[in-house]
Amino acid sequence: MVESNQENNEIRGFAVLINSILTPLNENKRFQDKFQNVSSRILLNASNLKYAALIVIDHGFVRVESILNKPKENLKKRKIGWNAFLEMDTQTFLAIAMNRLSLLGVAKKWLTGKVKMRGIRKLIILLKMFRFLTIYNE
Amino acid sequence: MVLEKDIFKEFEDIVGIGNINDGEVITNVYAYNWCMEIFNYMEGKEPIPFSPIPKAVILPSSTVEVQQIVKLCNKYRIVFKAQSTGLGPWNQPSTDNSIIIDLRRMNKIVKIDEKNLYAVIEPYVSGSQLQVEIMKYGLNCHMPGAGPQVSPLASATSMNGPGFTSPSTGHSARNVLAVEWVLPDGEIMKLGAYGLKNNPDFFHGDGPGPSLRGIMRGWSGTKSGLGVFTKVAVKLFPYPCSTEYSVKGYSPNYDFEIPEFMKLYVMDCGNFKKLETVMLRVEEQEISFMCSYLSGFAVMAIFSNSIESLMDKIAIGQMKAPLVVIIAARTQREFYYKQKVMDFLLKKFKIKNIIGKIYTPNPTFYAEALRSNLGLHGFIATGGFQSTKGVADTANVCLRSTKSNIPLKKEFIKQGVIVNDFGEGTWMTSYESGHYFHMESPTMFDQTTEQSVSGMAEYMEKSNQLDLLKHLGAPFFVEGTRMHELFGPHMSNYHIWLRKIKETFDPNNISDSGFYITPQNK
Repeated sequence: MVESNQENNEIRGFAVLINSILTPLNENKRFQDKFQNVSSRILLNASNLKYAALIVIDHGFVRVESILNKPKENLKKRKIGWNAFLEMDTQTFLAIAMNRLSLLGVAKKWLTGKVKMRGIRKLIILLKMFRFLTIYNE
Repeated sequence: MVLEKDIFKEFEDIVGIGNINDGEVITNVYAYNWCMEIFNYMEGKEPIPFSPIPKAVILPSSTVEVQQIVKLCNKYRIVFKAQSTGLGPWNQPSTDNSIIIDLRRMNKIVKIDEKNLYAVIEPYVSGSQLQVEIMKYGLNCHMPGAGPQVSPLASATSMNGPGFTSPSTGHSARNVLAVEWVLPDGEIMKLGAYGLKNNPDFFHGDGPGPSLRGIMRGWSGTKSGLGVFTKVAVKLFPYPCSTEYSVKGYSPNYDFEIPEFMKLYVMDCGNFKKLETVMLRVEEQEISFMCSYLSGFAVMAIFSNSIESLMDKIAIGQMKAPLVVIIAARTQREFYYKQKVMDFLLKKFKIKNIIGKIYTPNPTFYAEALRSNLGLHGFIATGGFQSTKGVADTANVCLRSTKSNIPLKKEFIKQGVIVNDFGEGTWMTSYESGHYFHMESPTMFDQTTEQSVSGMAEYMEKSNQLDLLKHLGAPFFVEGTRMHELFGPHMSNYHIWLRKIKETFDPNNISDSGFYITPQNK
């Protein structure tokens, strides 16, 4: 099957998952206040899937784009302009997102090459965003 | 194997033309059932979802017809397997020298006694059918975790029976009253008040004389290993809230008007110790309609109808020891009181309700909770699902069982044969306001690959062994001769007594003992 070459803004695969997790933040007033001065592009690649998720944080708003992760050139910094990059399989991603993998556990996976990271300081933004998902709006 | 023509004719004379079939298509279809492949593998057979093919399927319409069929089976030494709504391998014959007695024509609600809170039903009445009728009287019934589509008669007489509403409606074994029972030799036994000489009725399950309910079903039922049940009386309970049940839309995207006095709490207790304390305290107050511990993954699942919707609830999955409680009331005053108690407990234990704050479920969730229809969500990840464990004990033992199972489950997750729920997949509920507890470990697997099926079966075997080794009680799938003989010596040699019951009631082993126990000489 030949893939369509028409421009398609619809997000695909792994990016759909990331999008559905993160977009509720756009309705979170506290998140918007806290991130009003933050502008960053974080690329999350699920090594066992077809699409990577590019998280664009734009002054208190988040949007997610999908990027075909093959060929590898598609994910290069110079092509996308990301500030941070994180690659792992979906199981590891879920374990981190669901708080079932400690920082030590992540470090172990990083040392063994199962997790790849670039721009660690910017990745902390992502952790902060996830934390917002469980903060009560009280 | 098919029935000889003259024998077929004799069966046909009992039920009438069109109510017996020995055709290849029908008998093969009846040989299929959910999870049969797992049980086949565990018995050393090919892991296919088919049981031995029955010689015929017969559909009686009355107790007398059932009695005549059973007598004929004895005459020709043909094994029978009875089924009502027929969910799961427990409905399947264990030999090809068998017929299936499909009780679907016996589908009447015989009586609803709204004053004395019981209903008498036939085998093919489903939980939802019964519930709809008794709601007219402001009443509710217990339904097992399997869901509202299954037969309350089957659950009450022949199966286990924990349900999501168990805190308020108990266990199937606790809800069965009088019974009409066709014994394996064809004799009709009337248990309890239905056996009275004068004014027989169904209001009581025991006496006159010693109770036979323990023999009839014990804790987990005989799965058609000891005759056929043709009528049963089950207890009824006050419906927990207003019986207005307003549903619009089409499956699965219904819209439901949440009853006025109904509230959901989902709280993270953080760890098992605190979970146990909170669960016991909530139940001690006797305020919950539902009170379940579900693993983070399972909480995500009960709010989801697809993998996509499951995955977008990761924030919920972060909870380590979630407790799901529903309170419901008939009056404002009752509701206010229950909410006040919950508020007090939340404050005391420093826990927060995430509902309405970080997550608001679709109203359909409330409809499903009232219908006891949350079990279906176990199927959404892979289409294949089965539980291990099934202990009924204290909250502490249930949680020990949960904890000890995690490392074992992780081994199989690592092999890639079952779904990764971090080994935590659990459903635990209180029975009868915390008097005892149930715990099972739902596991999702892929029914379509042999590797996953065999992996799941091996995991189930090891989980059973773990229960024996760590003294975690009897799992609910201890059934069939091999398993009873494995667990019996560790549990007061109950299997010897079970066998004596079988030999006494069914010396010819005509009532299929595949999920019960065989007589010594068979």
